Amino acid sequence: MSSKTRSKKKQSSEPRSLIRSLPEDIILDILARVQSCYYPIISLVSKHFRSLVTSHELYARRSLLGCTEHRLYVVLSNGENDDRQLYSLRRKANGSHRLVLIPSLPNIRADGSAIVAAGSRIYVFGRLNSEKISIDFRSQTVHPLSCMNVNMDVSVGGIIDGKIYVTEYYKTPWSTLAKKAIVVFNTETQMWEPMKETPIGYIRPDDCVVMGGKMYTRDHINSFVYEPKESKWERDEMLNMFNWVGACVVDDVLYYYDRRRGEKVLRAYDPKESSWVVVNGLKELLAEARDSNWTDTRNYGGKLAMLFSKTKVIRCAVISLERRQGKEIWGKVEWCEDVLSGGDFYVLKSYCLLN
Amino acid sequence: MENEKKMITLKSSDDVTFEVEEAVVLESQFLSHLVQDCPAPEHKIKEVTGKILSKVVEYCEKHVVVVVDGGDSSSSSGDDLKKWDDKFIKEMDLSTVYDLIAAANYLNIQALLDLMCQRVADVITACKDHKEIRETLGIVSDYTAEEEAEVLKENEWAFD
Repeated sequence: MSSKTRSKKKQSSEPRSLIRSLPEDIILDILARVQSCYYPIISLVSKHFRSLVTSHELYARRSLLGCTEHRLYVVLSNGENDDRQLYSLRRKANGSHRLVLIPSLPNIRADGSAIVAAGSRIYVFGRLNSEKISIDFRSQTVHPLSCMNVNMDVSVGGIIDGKIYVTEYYKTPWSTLAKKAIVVFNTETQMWEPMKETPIGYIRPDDCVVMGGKMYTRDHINSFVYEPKESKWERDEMLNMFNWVGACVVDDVLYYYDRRRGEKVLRAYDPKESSWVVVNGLKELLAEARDSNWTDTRNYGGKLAMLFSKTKVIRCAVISLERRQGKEIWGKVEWCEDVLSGGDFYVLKSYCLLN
Repeated sequence: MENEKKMITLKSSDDVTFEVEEAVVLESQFLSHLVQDCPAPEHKIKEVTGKILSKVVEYCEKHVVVVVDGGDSSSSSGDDLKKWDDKFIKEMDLSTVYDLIAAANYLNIQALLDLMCQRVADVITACKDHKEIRETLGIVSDYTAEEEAEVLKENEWAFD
């Protein structure tokens, strides 16, 4: 009955214009569904398309549609000239990856500040009088945080249920002794909550992670766990078995690259089991990374990203993790590539944010 | 044994009529309200042509939420529906896709709108470069050669 199947492979001479056919709102909706690795190509289509893919509205739409992507940001120091610069790991349309310089964002001082990643922002809690800001990487904007009127010496922080817990020392005018406290910054209200003093000695944490709603820190002797509901610190002897620094957390399990012992391994600590295991399946990768004088591991959207150096090149490996037979954890290298070359680079800090 | 199904007639801008069950109409938020507010047996949809309305009806009939006890004759499983959707969009040219997006937007049929927008997104990502995107989507570049070179330079990393 229908006669529409006549045009077999009809090439219409003039394709109908998308822009003239549909409202801008819908075009934004379409572009929000395209993976961000295609945005450089889309930027070249026209000025209009470029303005769309760089607009705040696009990112708002991506969040709404659940099309956000995890993006790794890296603060790099160039050993040759001591420059610090911010890079992000980008996927090209051809599937390969590169660290790309972001010139428009301020350099983040890593020294002594507690830096916590949350959503598309990092929160920087500088020491004493220095600035407390949040940097939105998506919109590339800097926002000062509301003031706290105590002079604090910040050390580390972690985010639990939208609240950032920062360990602090502060001095009262009538005492020369520093007191230790936890201050809480609510990322939803962007307000501070009342300070809580914590009955723990003077520790200077080296690292801090959050697992299962608890914050774990360590100094050079002990490991501690902080339970926010009861504002309670406790020692964690099992966790303290290894000197975990530069750790990251994937699925409530802590991972860190142990480079201090003869055989370099990726160790994992599961707080539910109170047990350490060595991650299996990574022999080749770890052999490749063994001569690097630094490594950085980060949760990269549920996978583990590991950055390391190799003669003037930064390499990045992305590892998917799988539990087998109870406690065993196996890693599978999904890809491992040179992501930046031509310098004596060193990763100071990395963050995984939503984009 | 079965309740008599309420039928509703939809009339396109060019006066093509479609008789559908009420459940089918309820897939569209716009039509649900229309049917509730104005219980006439026939509704004219001035913004949608017969060609496009037939596609809309075809989609909604397939996706209608069926509450059948036991039997599965008219309900489709997720996998089947996905296959059907794939076939539905594969046969369509972009011009029809645009019209269907506009119709889905107007009639407020979110799932159809999502499907069609994703189709255009997939067409964009299948293009090998920006020139092919322009050709496919009928876009005329407003860049000067210098401006285009500037943007290319900005995103150099993506192309080397």
